[in-house]
Amino acid sequence: MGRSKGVRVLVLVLPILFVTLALFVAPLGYTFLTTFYYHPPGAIMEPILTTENYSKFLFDSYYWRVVGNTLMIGGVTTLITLLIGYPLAYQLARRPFLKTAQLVLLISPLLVNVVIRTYGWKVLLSDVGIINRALMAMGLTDSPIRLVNSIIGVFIALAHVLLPFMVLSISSVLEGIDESVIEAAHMLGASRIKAFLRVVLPLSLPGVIAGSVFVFVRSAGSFMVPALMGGGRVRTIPTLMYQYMSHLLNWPFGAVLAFFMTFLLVLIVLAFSSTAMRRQTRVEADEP
Amino acid sequence: MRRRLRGKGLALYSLLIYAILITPIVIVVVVSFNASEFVSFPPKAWSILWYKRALLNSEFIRAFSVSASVAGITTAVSLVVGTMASLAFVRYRFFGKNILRSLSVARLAFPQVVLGLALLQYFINIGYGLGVKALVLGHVVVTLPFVVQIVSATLYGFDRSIEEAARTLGAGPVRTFLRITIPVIRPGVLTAGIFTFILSFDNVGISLFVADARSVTIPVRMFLYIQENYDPSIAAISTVLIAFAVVLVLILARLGTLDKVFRGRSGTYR
Repeated sequence: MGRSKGVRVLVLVLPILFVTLALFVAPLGYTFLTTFYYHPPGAIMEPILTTENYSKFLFDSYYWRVVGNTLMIGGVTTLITLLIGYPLAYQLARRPFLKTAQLVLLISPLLVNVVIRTYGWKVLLSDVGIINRALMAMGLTDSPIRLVNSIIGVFIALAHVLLPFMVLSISSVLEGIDESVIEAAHMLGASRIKAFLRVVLPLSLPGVIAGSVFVFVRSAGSFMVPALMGGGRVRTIPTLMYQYMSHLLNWPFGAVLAFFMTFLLVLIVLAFSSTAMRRQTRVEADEP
Repeated sequence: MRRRLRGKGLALYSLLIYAILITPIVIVVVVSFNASEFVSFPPKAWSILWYKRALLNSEFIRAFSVSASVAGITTAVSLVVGTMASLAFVRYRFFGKNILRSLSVARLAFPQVVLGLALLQYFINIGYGLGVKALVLGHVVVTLPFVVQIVSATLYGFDRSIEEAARTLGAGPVRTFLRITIPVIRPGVLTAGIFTFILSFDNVGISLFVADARSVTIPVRMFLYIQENYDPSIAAISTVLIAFAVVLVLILARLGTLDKVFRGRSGTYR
């Protein structure tokens, strides 16, 4: 019996094990190796080990500005989705009228590809678009505000598509909060605001952290949005990676950029998610 | 009374946000019927000229068929591999389970462009080449975690006594699996399938790197087109894709499993 169970598990797990090792771990391992490869003039790379790709990256302030820019985009997008998304998540968790319709509207940005969404935003936000015309008609500005081909457009388009992840991440945790805990806070004399700040908000923190980590990584790792909305003005690590891989054909340097970004994001994720991880292991330990 | 007002305020706020979320998509649909070559909103004259242009553009048609076949094969592979893995993860304890599971969950938040770049180098290095088969493998890597997450969530809610009853009544393990397990988890598997199809069809991070000149996918083709052209034929092709998405959403809404899709990221399998 024990042996047949072992065989069954092996058969069930073998395909995902193959995908994970052969198509995730191995490619990343090989790419790490190529960060040390030599990039000869006129060719892509040669397996001669060198650290010159790293020194090119580390000692040029241009690349550090690009890194700063990428992290700033991640941070601002996370903040925007958190501020806009929390009330929405609260509403979705506590007052679910027409819940399916709400969910459909909420995830609608995820169902069309990034070029479609960005094109729509470009029409809306252009110098002669509705937003600018409305602002000028209201007398708020004399000349159009540059919303496309700028970092502002990048924030708007990224927040648009990542908001659903933030909202659903928070609302799934809010739904799990026992109503009686909040009632208890009220009975002990806490006002609505105080009960929210001292009870609901702390309990929802794991959802906030999980959502923030996801939004941060996705926005910092986005290629299309800065490429299309930035109009060539917004340089991030992914747009630079694409340039080095497809146009400049310097693969070792592209690999250095990829690894540096992964390294940074992993550090940030680990720093932010340690509390969420602790909670997750507790939840899983409770499972039968 | 104040409590009801507060509830209304929150509902009104949500309505406003939902309206903003769908505005860019609505705009694209409206612009696609614009007669002028210069995008203006609202359009001054209407026409279906751009649909004819888009549908006669052989590059769009080819890219569309590449995307559809890649997404179809990716969905089939991901569903089989992901459902098998979910069964193992939910029902058995085994050596290395947590590492394997963490490695697949980690991919949900792993920057896709990094993986795309790595796969490009790796496929060239091992002589596998680029193109449709490389696209399928790359898309399976990024969609599999979603399948595992959704199907696992369905399996956690599974009452195993139904299976035991079938076995007691004399059904073999294969028959029990086909007649009991599969029908019960089917909504979850279908939801996972639709999401995998959309994720693969719209993928950019992987496709940007591992597609070759003959296997450019539709989002990448649209990206390349929009670099040089700004006319509404991109809006026309977008509207066709939006129509497909609407159909898929209606199926998802009918299945009633939408909120399962995002469960588990926060670690709450309920």
